[in-house]
Amino acid sequence: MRRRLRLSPQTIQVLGAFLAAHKSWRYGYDISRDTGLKSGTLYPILMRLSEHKLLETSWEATAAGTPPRHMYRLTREGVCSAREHVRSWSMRPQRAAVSGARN
Amino acid sequence: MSAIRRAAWRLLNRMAQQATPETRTWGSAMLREMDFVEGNWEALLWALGSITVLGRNSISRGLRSWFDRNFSGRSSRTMTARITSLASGILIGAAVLAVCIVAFVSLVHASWFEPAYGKLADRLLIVVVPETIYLAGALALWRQRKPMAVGVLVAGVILIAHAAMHFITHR
Repeated sequence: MRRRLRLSPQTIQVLGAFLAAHKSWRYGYDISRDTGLKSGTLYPILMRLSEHKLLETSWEATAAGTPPRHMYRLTREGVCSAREHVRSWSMRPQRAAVSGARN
Repeated sequence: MSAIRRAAWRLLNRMAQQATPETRTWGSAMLREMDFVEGNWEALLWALGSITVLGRNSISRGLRSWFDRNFSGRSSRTMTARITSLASGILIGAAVLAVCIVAFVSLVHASWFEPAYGKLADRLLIVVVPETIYLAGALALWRQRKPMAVGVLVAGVILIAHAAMHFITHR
């Protein structure tokens, strides 16, 4: 049985980074720089997203003698799911603010 | 390549090679990305973070497969029996320790006992003797009653960890 995807603020950050250019392949270090997440935080998130089939991975074809780089891209399901999660996450403070204003 | 970066690369490479096949791909990916990390200390931090990920992943996968091997596909009765046996092992360990503590207290309060030997008696009766009994017990039980032997070993590990903490903090 596949475990439920844990949606931490960091996962939302990573999803947001992928959504910024969802059709293009991204490298791990680039995502790390965009989000400010260290490898110890970023890669478990990428692993979980891949385990949930929200992320596809590929090795970049390179010239002979150059080791390939691992690339990542959201799957179609991943794009829909990411949009939904990022949207619902961005609504959170607004909800809190609205409820705060009501009180 | 600087010495720091080289050491970081070696560490991560070693860890990636020893990772489980499922995790190895991720290890190689992190290793390759390290080439693009600017700064040697940043590269070392990248490697340490990656090593943590690989280590954590290997441990959790190992535990999961151990649990699947030992508990999945078995009836709840078998599982209950195993858990009971494991708990019995831990209880036996606790009982052995209790007996040793009683022996130690009786010894210290004996009129003929030299107080100068207090520390030695403490280490012998509270650590060495119970640990020896745990080890011998676990070896004797291993073939016939493995879960109980594991329970005894767990008690031993808890005691040794406690003793180590005690010695470090009370040195």
